[in-house]
Amino acid sequence: MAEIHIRNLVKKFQGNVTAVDSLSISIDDGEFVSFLGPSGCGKTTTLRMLAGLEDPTSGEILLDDQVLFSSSSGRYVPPEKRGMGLVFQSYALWPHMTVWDNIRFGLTQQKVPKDEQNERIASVIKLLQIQGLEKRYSFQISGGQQQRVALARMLALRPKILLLDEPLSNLDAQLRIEMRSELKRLHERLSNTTVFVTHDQLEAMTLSTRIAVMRDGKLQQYGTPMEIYREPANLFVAKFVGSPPVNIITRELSPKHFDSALKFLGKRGEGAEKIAFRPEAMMINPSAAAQESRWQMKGTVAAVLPTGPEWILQIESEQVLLFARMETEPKFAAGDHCTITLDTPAFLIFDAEDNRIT
Amino acid sequence: MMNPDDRSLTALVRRRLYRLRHDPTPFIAFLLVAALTYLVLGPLLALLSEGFRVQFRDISRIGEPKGSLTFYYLQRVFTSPVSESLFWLPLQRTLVMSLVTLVGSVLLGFILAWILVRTDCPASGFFTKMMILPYIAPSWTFALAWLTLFKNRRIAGPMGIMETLGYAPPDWVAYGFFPITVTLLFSLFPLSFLLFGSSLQSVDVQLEESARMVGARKEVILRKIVLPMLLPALMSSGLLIISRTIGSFGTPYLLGSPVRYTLLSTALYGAVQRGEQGIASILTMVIVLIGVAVVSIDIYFVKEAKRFVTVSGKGSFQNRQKLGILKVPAVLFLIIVLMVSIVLPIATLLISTISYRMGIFTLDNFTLDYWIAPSISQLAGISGILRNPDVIRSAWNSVRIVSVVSLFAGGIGTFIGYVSVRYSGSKIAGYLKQLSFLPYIIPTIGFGAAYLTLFAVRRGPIPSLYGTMFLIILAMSIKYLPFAARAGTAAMMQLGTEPEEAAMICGAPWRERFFKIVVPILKKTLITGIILPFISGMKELTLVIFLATPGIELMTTQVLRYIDYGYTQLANAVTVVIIFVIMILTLLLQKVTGSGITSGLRGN
Repeated sequence: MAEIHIRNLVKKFQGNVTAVDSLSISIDDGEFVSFLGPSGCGKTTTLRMLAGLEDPTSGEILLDDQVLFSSSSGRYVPPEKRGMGLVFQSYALWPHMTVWDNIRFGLTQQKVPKDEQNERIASVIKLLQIQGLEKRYSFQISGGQQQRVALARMLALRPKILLLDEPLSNLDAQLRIEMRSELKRLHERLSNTTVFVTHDQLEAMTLSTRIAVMRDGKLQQYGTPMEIYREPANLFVAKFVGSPPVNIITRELSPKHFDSALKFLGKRGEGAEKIAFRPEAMMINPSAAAQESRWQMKGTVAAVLPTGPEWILQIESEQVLLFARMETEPKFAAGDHCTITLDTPAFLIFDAEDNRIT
Repeated sequence: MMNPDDRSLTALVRRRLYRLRHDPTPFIAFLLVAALTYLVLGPLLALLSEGFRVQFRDISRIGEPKGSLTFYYLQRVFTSPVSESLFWLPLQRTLVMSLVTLVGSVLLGFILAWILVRTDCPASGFFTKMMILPYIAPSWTFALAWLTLFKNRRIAGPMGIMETLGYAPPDWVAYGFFPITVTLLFSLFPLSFLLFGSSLQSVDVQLEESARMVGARKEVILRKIVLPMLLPALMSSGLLIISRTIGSFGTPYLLGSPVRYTLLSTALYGAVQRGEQGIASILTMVIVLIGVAVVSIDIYFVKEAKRFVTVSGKGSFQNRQKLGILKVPAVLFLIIVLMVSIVLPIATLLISTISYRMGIFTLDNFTLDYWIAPSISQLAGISGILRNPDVIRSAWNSVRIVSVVSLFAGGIGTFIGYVSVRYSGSKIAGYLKQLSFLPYIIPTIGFGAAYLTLFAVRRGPIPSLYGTMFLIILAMSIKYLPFAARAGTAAMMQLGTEPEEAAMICGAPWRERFFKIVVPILKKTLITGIILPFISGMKELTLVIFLATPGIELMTTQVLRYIDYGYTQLANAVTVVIIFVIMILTLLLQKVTGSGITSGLRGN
């Protein structure tokens, strides 16, 4: 068992900057939870508080029934007693030690008997497929291999919880995909409870059982990847997840479209201030064919961007630029007129506070 | 226009000339290579030639004609009965003294760096700035202050402050090993402080945090993670300090010679004074070789250290260790170091210059005579330094020489950078880089002696330059070239060739490109490249000790002259002026660059 409960966690830095603002979240045993958000949203700070490297200003952290930190009782468990393994963004391999020594160091500190040390090191080396690198130093191996060593170093200690702080952000694009699937494979195999910090929505989407989207220290939404994508709690979450980004129509910027859409939505649109829809929800046709059950608007193709498996269309309509995604080759060129058609379920509707109504 | 297809010789030459006029870089490169080869390698070759050939004065002793090959000098220095006092004893003393200075300054530098970088010690910014001051002041300032405080009757001049106060210091306190080591330690600890400081800052905190995560205790982290990471800085600062102590002359001269405590540098000085050119050359070679060995080891370690450079993590989590109850002792310690290393020496010098008799602190003992009197009765009618023609002349010499040197060194540095970038990766660029680095690894005293050897007599078309200001300018420019060249190359590297190429395409001729594109963009760096040599030049003593003659005294050599005459207060007053000028320039430099003296400190 390894469940984490965070209650009303607050972290204020010098100068009264609130990095984390009354965060409450529970992570179930065996979950892979991502903290997702832009830089400065408090995700890394939260992870460091979990690890015990940073003291919270107030709140509680529990691991199963054990209180790791509590501002009310003053209890604080130091990092090495928490049973957590942390992999840093920079990997933080000790450059003066070989791969083998890097992994062994922690085992020695934990007073693991020598025979077991060797056994465990051999097994994590096999697990992470870094055989043959044992005698190398960190500067002699590639970034991806360093990453694996950093993981091996923590896994050798058999942590109850694995904490990963943007572990993929220093890798190049190719390696990142490779390590991403490696992480998924590892998690499926070991089923450790894992907390993963990232600003890359794609990583969060592909890896997580649940995602916690954060902004300015506040939790925006906590849910499965599909919930986050399909039912964003607010406009920020809708905008942060998805690429190309969600299309937004507002009352001020495109009143004509906004009014027509509101009329089409009828009762559902009550209280709406902003209307959004995903690029793949748009159907693009050369000419308008009146369809009562759907909403339509006219536009001009501004650019066609083929990505290989699909095509991104940039469409200008009433001075607004919209992104559409097509799976078949479009028969459009820049400058062509077109009609955009949307189904009712495609609409994400937000109120004046940017919270989603439906 | 020319016909590009014309293959006749005249057309070819004409095309080449046209190109050269359009882009004189090859011409500049040729000039640099020729001049630097002579000015950097020449002195070293001259040493070999003088050290292994019979000198005029030794013809009868050796029994061979002048100029023939001989190992007489080598024998005399290493194996003859006089070799003990000529070489072995000074060598042994130099090594012991270097080692003690090294251990002391490394320890002091490390403790200071730890307090100021890794703990929540208050006013760390202020203290960091102040700790660099001893490095800015001329190294012999401390020796001078020591003499002022502790000198006894063994040498001429007024009584030292301690003796006036009723305590006559014994010789071992006043002169020799003890004071030399202590004063060198206080002038050199900033070096290791700076190195440790910057490497402590660059050690990724995540390295320590991951050690904490796997359960290592604080002292284990310090011993197994942090200290190994600091090893390169330790080696570097150690070797730099050794190189400095071996090459320094002022302090051993001031504090060693009264009791004949001779170090390698003063032994060399003695040989030159006695006119023993052959022996001086051999001694210089030894000093040069030690210097080269030391710096080569350092370069090796700097390279080794490169592998310790890791992907840096997030810098925002620089956890500073809480000092707690140690806060007061830590600050007290910093204040004491500051007092002893900078306030006390400078105050001693300053107070001595406004006291009739040193060590008496009454109002009627106060005087400005040493500064402004037309004639000082105790000093045989010499006038105060601000109206003393000798001092004014030497100050004017210093300013003139050093100004030319800074422009010269800065200029050559810029051109070296320019050529290196234009010919990036070529043999010429590599040769220039190594050549311009060589003066850095030659200990200063050896460099000065080598220049004396090369230019003392006429060689081929090049006349003897000894006794001219030009020789001092040349020697200083080349000695400071490594810094200037490094600054120049770094700046040009940063600039790249594109801005100039863009101007080339616009049709701008070379002069326009260089002075209207390259120079203005690099203004800041170039100014740094000029002010830095100026500061070094103003306080330079060791390099010029062989090159300055009574006809062209510099401010620094004037100080030595006054000490020799026993005019302690005058020497101190001139030193105060030098320190004052240097401080102002350093502040100016900080204003211009926004950073300061610490940048451009390391060679390589």
